Amino acid sequence: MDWEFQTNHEIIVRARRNATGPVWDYLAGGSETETSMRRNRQALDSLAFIPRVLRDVSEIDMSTTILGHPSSMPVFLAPVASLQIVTPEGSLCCDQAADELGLINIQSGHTEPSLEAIGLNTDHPKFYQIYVRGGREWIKDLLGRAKGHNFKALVVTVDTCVYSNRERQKLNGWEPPTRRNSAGREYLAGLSWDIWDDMVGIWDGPMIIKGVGTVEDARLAVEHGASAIYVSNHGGRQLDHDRGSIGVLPEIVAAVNGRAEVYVDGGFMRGTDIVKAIALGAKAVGIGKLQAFALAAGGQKALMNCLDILRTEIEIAMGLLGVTSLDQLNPSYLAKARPVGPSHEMSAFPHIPGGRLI
Amino acid sequence: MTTHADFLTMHDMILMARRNMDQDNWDYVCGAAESETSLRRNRMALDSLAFRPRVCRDVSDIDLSCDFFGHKLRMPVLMAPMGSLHRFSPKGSIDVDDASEEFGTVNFLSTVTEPGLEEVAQNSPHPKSFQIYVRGDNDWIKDLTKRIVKADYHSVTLTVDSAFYGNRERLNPSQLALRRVPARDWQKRITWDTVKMVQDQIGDRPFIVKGIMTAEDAALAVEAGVNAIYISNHGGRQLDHVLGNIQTLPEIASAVEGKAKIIIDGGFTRGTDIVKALAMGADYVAIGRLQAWALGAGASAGLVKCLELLEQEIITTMGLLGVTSLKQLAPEYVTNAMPVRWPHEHSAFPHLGPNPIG
Repeated sequence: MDWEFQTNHEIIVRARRNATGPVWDYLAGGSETETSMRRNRQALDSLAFIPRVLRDVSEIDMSTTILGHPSSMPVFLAPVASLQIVTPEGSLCCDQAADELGLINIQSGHTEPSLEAIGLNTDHPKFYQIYVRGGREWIKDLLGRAKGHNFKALVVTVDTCVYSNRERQKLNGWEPPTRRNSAGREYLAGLSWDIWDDMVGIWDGPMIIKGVGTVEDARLAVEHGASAIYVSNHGGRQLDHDRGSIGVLPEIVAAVNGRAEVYVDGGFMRGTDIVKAIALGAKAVGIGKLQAFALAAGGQKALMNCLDILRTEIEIAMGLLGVTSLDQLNPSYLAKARPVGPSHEMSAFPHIPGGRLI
Repeated sequence: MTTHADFLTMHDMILMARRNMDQDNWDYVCGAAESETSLRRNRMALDSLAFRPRVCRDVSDIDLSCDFFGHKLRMPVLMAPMGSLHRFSPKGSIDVDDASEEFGTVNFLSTVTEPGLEEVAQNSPHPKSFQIYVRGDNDWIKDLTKRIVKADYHSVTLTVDSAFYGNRERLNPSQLALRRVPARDWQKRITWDTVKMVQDQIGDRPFIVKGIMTAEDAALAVEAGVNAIYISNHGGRQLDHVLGNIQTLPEIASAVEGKAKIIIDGGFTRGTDIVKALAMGADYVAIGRLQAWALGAGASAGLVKCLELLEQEIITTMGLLGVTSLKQLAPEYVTNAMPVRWPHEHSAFPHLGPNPIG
C-alpha cells in the first residue's frame, strides 16, 4: 500500500499541526511535573540490545495471541478517552484499523462512539475498558451491553481513583469532556477488591486489570482471578513520580510467573521499544500516545500508516537481533545502559524540529 | 505592588511572583550559596525517588490532619522561618501569620524579619514557633527567650547551621551588607551548651533544633532532649555541596528512633515531594521558597491559595498511592529512580518557559 508518511516523525509533526492547543495538551501532556511520563521513556532508553549474528532471519513471524485471540503483532490499541475530539469518527477509526490489520483494540469507556456502535462495526475480537462510575446495577447493565456486543474481555482501570493534576490543561483553562463529567467519581475512589470480585462474577469472562505498578498488586490480581495484568502508569497522566512502566515489568513478570498474561504500556513509540517489552516477558504492548498522534495526523488512514511503520520497525529489530519469532525473545537479549539524552514524550524522534513539540 | 490569589496552578503563581518581585528580592528568595549545588541537590534527591502505588483500595476518605505538639494541623506542612519577608510581602511576617491562621498551620517567625516577635504574637491566637538566630551573648539570649515566653510562643526553634553567612553570589553588595551584619558573628559561638541554655529558659515549650544534616548530630540532639529535629541545609543557602536533605532523612530517622519528631525542608514544592518525606519518616515538611513565591504572587491570600493547591496535590498523591491517612505512609511506598531533568529551584515546574527539553 502507498502510505503518505514514511516515518512516525512526520506523523507527529502533522498531528501537532492539526490539533488545536487544548487537544494537543491533552494528548501530549502528563500530570504535574510530568516525571512519570518521562520515566516511561527513560526506562526504555535505559535498556540496550545484545544482538546475535549469522542466524537465518529471512522469515520473521511476529504474530501472537492475546487471551487466545490472534494478533498479527504483539501490539494492541490501548484505550484512549475522548478520541472524538481528536478525529471526527472517534474510536471507529481504531476499530476499523484493528479489523483490517488483525489487531485487538480496547474501546475506552470514555470515548465515542458508543460501545454498541463499535461492537456492531466489525466482527473481529475487541476488548472493552471500564471506568467504574456506578454501583452494582450500573455495572451489571454496562457489562451486559459489552458482552452482547462482541467484546471478548473486560479491562478494568484501577489507577484513576483520583483525577490527576494535568497542568498543561489547567494553564490553558481547558478540560477534556471526561473530566468535565464528574458523575460517579465517588465510585472510582471507592473501587476495591470486593467490587472487583463482584465484577468477576457478573462478567463471567476474561478480566484484565489495568494500572498495576507493584508486585504486591500483581500477585493480588492473580489471586483475584485476573486473566491478564496490564502494567501501566496511565502514560504518566495519573500519579506523578511513578516508575517507568518497563522498569517495573520484570519483577511483575516474575511475580505473576505465567499464571496470567502480562501487558504493558507507557512511552512505547518504536519497534525496538516493543521488542524490549516482549524480551522482558510481556505478552503484548499497548500504544496510547502514538495511536492518538496518528489519529490526529489523519484518522484511520494515518493510524494504519503508523502501525505499518511500527510493524516494519519490529521486523527490523527482530531481524537485527537474530530472532525470527517472539517466543525466541528473552532477557538475554537485553543489557542495562544509560539514556543518551534527556528522555521525554518525543525523545524517540530526534529529528523533530527543535527536538520536542509543545 | 499588585497581588493576586486567583492563580489556578503554582506555575501561574511563580510567574506572578516573578513579575511582582524586584531583582534583589528575587535573587534573595531563589538564590543559594556559591555554586548552588546544595540547592540543586535538594531537588535532585527528591527527583531520585519514585512511588510504588497500590490499587483497589477504597480511597474515598483521605485525612491529612495531624497533631503538632498538642495542636491539630490541617496538613503536615509548616511555614519555614524566612528572613526579609517585609521586603517582598506588603505586611511582611503578618501576611504569613494571617495565612497560617486562616489555613490552619503553624508558622515559624524568623529573628530577622519584620514585624517582629511581639507584633506577630499579638496578631493571631494560633500556635506559632519563634526561630532564634543568636545575635549577642548569653544575656542577650536570655533576654530574647524571656520575650518569647512572655509573648507565649507555642514552641522555640534554634537555628544551628549558620555559624558563617553562606556566600550568596546572586546578591549584590548592598543586599549582602543588609544581612552580613557584625552581630551575626555571635552565631559562630553556638555549641550544645547554647542548646541546653535556651532549653532551660523556655520551660516545657517544644524545642526544635534547625539545621541538622547528619545522623551523629541528630543523635546528639536527641540526647540533649530536643522535641524535634529539623533537617535542613537552609535551602542550600549555607554550606554548599552538602547532600540533598531527603537523602539524609533515612539515616536521621533511624538515629532518632522516634524519640523526637522530625521536620524537614529543602526544595519541597509539590504534593508528591511532601508525601515522599512523610513515607520516609518525616513527621512534618516545611516550605520556604514556595512560601515566598506565594507571598510574592498574592501576599496572605496568595499563600492560602498556594496551600490549598498543595493540599489538593497531597490528597491526589495519597489517593493514587492507595493510602487514606498519614500513618499508613511507609518506606515501602518509595523506591529509587533516576531524575528526568536537570534539577534547579524551578525544575518541578516544567511549563514555566523556555528550555522545554532539559
